Amino acid sequence: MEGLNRSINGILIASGFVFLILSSILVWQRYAPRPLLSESSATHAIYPTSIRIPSIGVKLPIIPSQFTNNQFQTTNDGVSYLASTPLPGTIGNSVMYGHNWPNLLGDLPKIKTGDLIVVEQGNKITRFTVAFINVVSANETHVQQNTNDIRLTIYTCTGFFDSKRFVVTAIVDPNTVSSLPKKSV
Amino acid sequence: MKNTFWTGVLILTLLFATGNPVHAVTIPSFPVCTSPQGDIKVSYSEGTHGIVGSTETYTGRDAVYTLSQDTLTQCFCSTDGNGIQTNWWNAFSLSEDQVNTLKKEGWFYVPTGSLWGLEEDPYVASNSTYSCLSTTTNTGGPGDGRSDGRSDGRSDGRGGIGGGEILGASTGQVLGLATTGNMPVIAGTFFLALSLLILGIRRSLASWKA
Repeated sequence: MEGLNRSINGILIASGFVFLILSSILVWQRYAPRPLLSESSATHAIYPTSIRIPSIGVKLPIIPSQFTNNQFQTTNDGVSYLASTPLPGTIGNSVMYGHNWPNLLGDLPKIKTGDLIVVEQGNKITRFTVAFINVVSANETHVQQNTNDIRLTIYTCTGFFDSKRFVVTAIVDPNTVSSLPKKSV
Repeated sequence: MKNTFWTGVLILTLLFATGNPVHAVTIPSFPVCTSPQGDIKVSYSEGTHGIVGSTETYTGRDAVYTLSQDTLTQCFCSTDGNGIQTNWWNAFSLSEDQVNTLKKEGWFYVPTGSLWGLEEDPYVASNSTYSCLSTTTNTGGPGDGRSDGRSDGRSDGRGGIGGGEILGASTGQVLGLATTGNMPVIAGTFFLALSLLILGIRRSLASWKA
């Protein structure tokens, strides 16, 4: 009986340590430095490749994602681009989202209207100006609805226990779409 | 000892006898028809079309997009709004084993693409369904960035499949926005860890005292 009690105690303490380590990893994941963006050699990328928000120091890769099985795919390595929405720079509402971790979009709530957002797709760059900032509930999906203008909606979690969404709506700059200069070989 | 040996031999024999060699195939990525990409190869605003793997004929709008040298996407939207996406992959460079692996995963093998308006090379093709707007009118839409009723970037009135509205993520059918934070998970894990540790330590102390 004594032996059994000792075993149970040991299992409880060991499990406690395992979960403690797990929670530490989850915290570390939020702060771990992201891999630097590498210069993409693909000049005709199908999907947008990177996003920059100079005012808050964000420069992250874009990972295409889907909405499948009633769930949004998310990434720990950058910003997710909802591939079922229009490409940034084309008419409609391009939707992106990312974790609110300090190493991803944690600083998004510091953004201000008028700030610049740059989206790169291969050698094409599209500039957007932040027009609206809003905090909505997680069920307010209207922010993802399509529009007749050219806009980018990017959001991340905010609020108590990440129950809200901090939504930034940016409208495309006139004469925005341009090509990066070709690299000399 | 003898039994253990023969059990091991039996397990190994079964593993080698039943296990098929794995022929890894890296399937290229195909964009969805609700957000079509690539260069339009052919586009029909209406008509009767065939879908690989099916003997039926389908009436509606059809467009084929060239994604790369080896891949294409066919986006068909029927008159009742049922879309079928066919991903085409040139199988010229694939081995027979790789083709067989793909066939087991539901791909169709097409000996020559010429019957489908493609190169004379063999192809593998895979179908999936999606929702699109009725084909009676071209509505433009999110996939192609047009709002003038054209969807393939042409001015000759021929519409492409890209005009379908996105049904799902952007029309409010989604019940919530993406979950982009993990504070509840971290807090839950931490409190579980704390609870287990406290319980374990308290029990240990109690048993030592006893």
